[in-house]
Amino acid sequence: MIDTFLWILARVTGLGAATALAISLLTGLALRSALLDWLTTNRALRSTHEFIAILWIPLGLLHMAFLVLDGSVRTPIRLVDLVVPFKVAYGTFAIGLGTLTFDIFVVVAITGWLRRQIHAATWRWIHRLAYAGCALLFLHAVLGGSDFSAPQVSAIAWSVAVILAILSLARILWGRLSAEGRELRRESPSPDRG
Amino acid sequence: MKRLPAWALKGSAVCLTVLATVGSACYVGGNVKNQTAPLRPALQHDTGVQAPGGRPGQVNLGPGMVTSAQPVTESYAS
Repeated sequence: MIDTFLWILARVTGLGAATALAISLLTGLALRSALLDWLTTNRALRSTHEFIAILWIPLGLLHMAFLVLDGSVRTPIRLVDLVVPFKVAYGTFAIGLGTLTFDIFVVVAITGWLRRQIHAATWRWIHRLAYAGCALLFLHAVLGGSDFSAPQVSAIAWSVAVILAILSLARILWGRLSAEGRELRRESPSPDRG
Repeated sequence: MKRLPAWALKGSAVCLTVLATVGSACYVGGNVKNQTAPLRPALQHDTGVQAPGGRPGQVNLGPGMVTSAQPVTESYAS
């Protein structure tokens, strides 16, 4: 009974964390692409982007904690499996992708808090790992998620993923196009390629 | 157009995450066992008996032995 409850909680928190991370990615993309320029300022977006960490971090940690505590599986997920990828006895690749995602987001979150102590260019490249993290998270969910095979969940998840993938691709191809950048370009003839 | 302040964006993010989590809870609560789930690990209470044509970990609740003929009550010699 308690194991079933933990299993349900693990799935629910996993889906919640994925949602919060999707919002985080969207606000991060919007910060650099002026995507939500019509809706809000970059200052508000940055503040929201940083704030969302208090949503996805606890949800992600709870997702992992519930999976470790779930004793119904013969070969349970161990604490070491939360850090070292591809060591779980079942669903090695799918669960390993989740571990890899966790490792990436730990680095991104810690360097995010230590941003002032890190060289700007180094920090930017580390922070860009979040794109890879989100892609791995989606693969982890598709290959290992118990609910992603259900049309109700997969329809929403695939739609959000495709939109975010298009926006990410646009961000990579066209680079920075912030509101401030555009204003600067209007004033100065030198292009902003930050 | 007046732009949204940070608190409104944060509130929207919280609402969206809470809505998604509650929606997930409702869905998962109603679909605890998903037969099409990609990962189906063996459970502690599984007997290990596999149903014919079934997946590993699936418990066979049917009879263990199937008879194909009537019991022999007399032989050729009797």
